Amino acid sequence: MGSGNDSILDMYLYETNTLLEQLDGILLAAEQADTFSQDSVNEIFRIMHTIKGSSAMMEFNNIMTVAHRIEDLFFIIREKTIDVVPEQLRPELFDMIFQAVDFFRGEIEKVENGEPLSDSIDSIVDKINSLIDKIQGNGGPEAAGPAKPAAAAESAESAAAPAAAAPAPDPADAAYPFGVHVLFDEGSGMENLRAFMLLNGLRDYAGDFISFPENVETDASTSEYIAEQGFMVWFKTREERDHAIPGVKSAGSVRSYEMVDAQAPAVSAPEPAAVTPEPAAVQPAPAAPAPAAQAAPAAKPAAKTQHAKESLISVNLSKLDQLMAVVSEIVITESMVTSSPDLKGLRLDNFTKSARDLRKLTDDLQDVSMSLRMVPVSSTFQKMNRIVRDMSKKLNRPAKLVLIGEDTEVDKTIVDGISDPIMHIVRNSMDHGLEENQADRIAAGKDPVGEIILSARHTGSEVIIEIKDDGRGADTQAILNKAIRQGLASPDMDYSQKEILNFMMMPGFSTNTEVTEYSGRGVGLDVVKKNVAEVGGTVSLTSEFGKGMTTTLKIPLTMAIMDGMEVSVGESLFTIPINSILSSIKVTADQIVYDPARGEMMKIRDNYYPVIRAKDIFQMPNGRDNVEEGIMIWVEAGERSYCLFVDELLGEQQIVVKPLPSYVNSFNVKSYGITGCSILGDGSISIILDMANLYNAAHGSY
Amino acid sequence: MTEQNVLLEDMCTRPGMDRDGNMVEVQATKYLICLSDGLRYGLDAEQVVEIITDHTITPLPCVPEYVRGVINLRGQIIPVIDLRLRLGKMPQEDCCIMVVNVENESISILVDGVEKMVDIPKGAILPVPTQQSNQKLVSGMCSLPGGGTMLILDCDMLLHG
Repeated sequence: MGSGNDSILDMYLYETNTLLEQLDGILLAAEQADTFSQDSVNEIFRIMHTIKGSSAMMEFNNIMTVAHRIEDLFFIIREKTIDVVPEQLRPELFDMIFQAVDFFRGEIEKVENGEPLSDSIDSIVDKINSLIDKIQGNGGPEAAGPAKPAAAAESAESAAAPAAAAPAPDPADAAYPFGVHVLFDEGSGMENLRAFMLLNGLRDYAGDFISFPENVETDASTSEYIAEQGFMVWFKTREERDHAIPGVKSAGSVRSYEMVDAQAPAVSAPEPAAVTPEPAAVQPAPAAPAPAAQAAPAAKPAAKTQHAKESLISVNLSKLDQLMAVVSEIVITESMVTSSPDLKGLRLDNFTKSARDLRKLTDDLQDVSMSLRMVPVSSTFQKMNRIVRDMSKKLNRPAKLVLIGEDTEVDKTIVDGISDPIMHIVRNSMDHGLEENQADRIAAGKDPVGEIILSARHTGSEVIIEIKDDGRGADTQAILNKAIRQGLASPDMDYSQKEILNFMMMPGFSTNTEVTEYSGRGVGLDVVKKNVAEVGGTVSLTSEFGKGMTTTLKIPLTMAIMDGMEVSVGESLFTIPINSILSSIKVTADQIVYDPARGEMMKIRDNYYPVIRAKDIFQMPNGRDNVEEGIMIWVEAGERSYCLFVDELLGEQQIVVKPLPSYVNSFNVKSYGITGCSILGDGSISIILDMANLYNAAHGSY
Repeated sequence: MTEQNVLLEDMCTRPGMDRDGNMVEVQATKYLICLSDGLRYGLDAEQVVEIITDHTITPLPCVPEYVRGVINLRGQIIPVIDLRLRLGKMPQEDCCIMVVNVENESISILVDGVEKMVDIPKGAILPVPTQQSNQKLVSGMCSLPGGGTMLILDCDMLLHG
């Protein structure tokens, strides 16, 4: 009964990862305040409890054990409030928990990668135990610590009594007063199914009985209950019950059983040694979990309400992709219907009205389905908190992270793709950006605590993410020297500051190949650049020596369906994103002016803008040459603004963006501004242009 | 858009006879023969998805000449490679398009025409003696049962070369 089928594992991973992130958040806040509020103690306890339970079900015993120990620790803190942990122990406490979270993360990653889990949890467990001991030294022995078995056994007994009493020793049906309380082997896992097997076996001995929990065959959550509280089978008569005992004995994984009569105050003789109902903690003294068991029924309903509070549902991304694909096809088909050649020339008032309504509905449908994939960047941003905290401790450079625009929503694939790059840049800022010691900062007139600002905002067609540090800034001379040394730059050429900073993003430039315990994946800003390019974005650096450095990521919002303007050049159709268009202008020949290289320009309002002829840049055989016969489209893309000369403006269309086949992309057409194609209502193919790349191709970068 | 769709079967083994007159299994591969500039080329039938005779190619800028453009096949955008131009020959008007699936990618090849399917036993394929850079697209050659020679077209090389 290993880890069950894939979807159970997926859910476990998703849930546990989410919980660990929540935990990080709570811990960071608590560390800032240097104390745990009662609420956060409860929260941590609940999280550990959930992780413990679900890890037990998945038979990830080491995770479960560590979670269990922390749960114990926090039980103590919960009972005695944080004051039980003296001031001087608090840093140790925080460090230990962060370490545990890292441990959990590491193990989860191993699970995700199909690697075996580590067996050596002793050091962590020892740390936790020693911390508990130290606290016990403060709190007094009745705090049900692991130390004194005698006292513990006593509390176990008193705890076990109410524990056994509390959850239904009384049968659901009073007609069945004679019961058997069965406890399964610790750590046997899948207790619900073992209970089910036991019931099956019992049918050979007795026909008539009820059980608690009832739905063991179908409800896997009963496992935890059974593991802690045991499993009850109730019979009508004493004889039937006694008769069934051999069946219980011969069932698999039964650790112990006892006969229980209803209406008696539950427990006849809970052998404390054997019967501490505990969820399979292996090494630590069995007494310790007794308070945990007592807390368990209390914590479980609490955990359940927590889940109920979140009205969120996690959806498989592939389902969203399917939905998007269907919605795209609907948009295409809708325009095929409404612009069908069969209807040409006909006057159909009712049809036209309905078609308008349909168009509005498909617009709404498209908006909603696109928004499904949008998630706020806060999940990625929050992760950075942890990194800044850890690195500032490790490097002894106090720093604070300021987050702006966390709620900015971005397509999930983009969020996933920029997580690593942002992490890398933040690390760079901490490591190389901020001054080495506070004295330097004070001397420069800066706040001794370094500041890193992480911000996100929309600009209609793009999302812009900035990572800004107020550290040393880039030493352009040093960078240039290094670039020359590495053969990336030539000593005789003059480079602008922008170009020099760009050297930092070239492969092979990386400053120190320092592989910390946080990353081992790719070093260097060139990898960052590549990863950002994969989601269609660009990276640029700006810096002021002595003041700091800013890294800007610009990522176009992936629009699977977008509004485009159809234009024609010769016999070819092109689509220009509406967002890029400022206006369209008919010109006369005298409006075109020339620069010394015979490059064309035209004046709009008070500025001159370069003119790019689509026919020329794409080297097309047909197309209008006379400026008076075509039309200028004034566009803006990124920082560039220019005019594209085309033959005709055909009209605004809502189009579905289809990516280019990778064979075509292999010819690097993207760098010419050919970024995709779309199928129009009549089946013809239009080429979608990226106005920024087009400009770069025409004029070279910068 | 009318298309003549021809869907093809996959690899088969055929019983044959050995010298003693016993029935033996002979591994043979089905190839689809197409014509381009007077030469016969064979493609692994498993890779061929469809043959289209009535098509509209949308030209693409900024690609090599032999990439004639793309076609819209039931909503899928598929690039068209003119085999004549790819092999350095002169282009021609009358042609048909073979859609092939290579490594999960769909591409299509513009050829003069399509002939038939043949079964070629594995051992019958011989290497090409003359090695020019163009002919890396041809991975082997063999004699055809009805006479004539067939050059085996390597679609992977066509895709990556």
